[in-house]
Amino acid sequence: MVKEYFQPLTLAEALTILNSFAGSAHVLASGTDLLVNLRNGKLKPEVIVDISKIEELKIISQEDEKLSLGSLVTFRELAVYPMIQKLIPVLAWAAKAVGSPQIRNRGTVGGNIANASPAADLVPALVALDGVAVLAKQGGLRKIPLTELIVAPYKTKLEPGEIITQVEVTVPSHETGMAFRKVGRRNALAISRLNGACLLNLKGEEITAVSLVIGAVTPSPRRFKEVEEYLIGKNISEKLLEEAGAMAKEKVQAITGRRASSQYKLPVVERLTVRLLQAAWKGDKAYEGN
Amino acid sequence: MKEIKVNFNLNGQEITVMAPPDMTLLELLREKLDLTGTKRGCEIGECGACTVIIDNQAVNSCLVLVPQVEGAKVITVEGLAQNGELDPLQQAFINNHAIQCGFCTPGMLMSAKALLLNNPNPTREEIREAISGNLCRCTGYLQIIKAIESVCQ
Repeated sequence: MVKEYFQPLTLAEALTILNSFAGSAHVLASGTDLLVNLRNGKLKPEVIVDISKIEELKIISQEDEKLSLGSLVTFRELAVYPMIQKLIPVLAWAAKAVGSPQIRNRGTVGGNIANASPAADLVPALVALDGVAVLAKQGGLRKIPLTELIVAPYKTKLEPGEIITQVEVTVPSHETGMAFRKVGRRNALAISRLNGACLLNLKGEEITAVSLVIGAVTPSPRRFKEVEEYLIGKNISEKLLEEAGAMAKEKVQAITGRRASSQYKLPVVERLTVRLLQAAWKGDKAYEGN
Repeated sequence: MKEIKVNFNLNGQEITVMAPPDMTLLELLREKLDLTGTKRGCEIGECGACTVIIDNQAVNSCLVLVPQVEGAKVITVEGLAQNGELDPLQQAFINNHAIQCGFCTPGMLMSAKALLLNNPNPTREEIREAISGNLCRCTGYLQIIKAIESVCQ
């Protein structure tokens, strides 16, 4: 039973309210996840702080190589924002993979992170870009990499009274190859069985930098550093990418152990890894659905 | 808790309602305002039957709390017809037999309307994407796509 409902118009006001409830208040962004949990009874908040009217959290800004996404930027805005399509298309593709048009019109960057679903579609792209969350609470700001903020399925290190205000990423150099893929039962509305994002830099044939994230297979999002390190310094080839796929599969098995879903997921991890790297190498013109 | 006051524009009229803050827009429309054109389907944002337009964007009304529409412009299927004349989109659904059981129809209309408000001349692919969040269990998608195409410029 909701006893109190607040709708602050500024961040400062929101932080004061959150502070006064010592962490017992629930933050509501757009509600596309929260309302589902209210309805099924998983969540019974007594106090809701609805931050959806705070304009200062809806801003996309760029300063030199730093791109800052306000936590209330919606998936639709990310998918259509020309500067993002041009400079960081992997974010636009990932945003477009979320839910349905109705969900993308509401759902937010900050909500996707705070909800910490292992199947979140935007998170792998943000992690591949080494995204850093800016967190605010009354009396202070801190920055924390997304990989440290999200610690387990549906669990973050957000402290009581703290909210995500921005996510910052560095704009990759213009020759960086990028790719995003989602594997689900159908494109629209399906929760990802697996997803992944990849950034790749080549000097001639030589791989100089690579960032690889396979989502929805590990408890918290992470770059596949072992695979990345294996690839760096080597000349790119189809054979090398096959080896990377096999390594990614082994890595997932080592992290998660054998599960009922392994028979399906492990071969898909392998192919997804190969396809992400191929797409980043050869040019991923657009997000094509899988 | 006590009800709170919310002001918004509904189908062209400024209205003020009192509602519990954990009431969804879907519940408000159907239970308090007797606008039952908006359908209650899955209530978890997967079927699209409850789609309405908020500030020119298609939205699942089951995933919006009433206070969140404060100051917004909301259009429901009841707001499509003007002065007793069906919206061209509604007439196109009739002409193209884009209705079987009819349960998904209001949501389909609102998703299509939102598309046309933002993009009056969409491609078939854009139409398919725009209604990808609306399930039709009678599977009459082709007629629906044809109906939407028929009103494009």
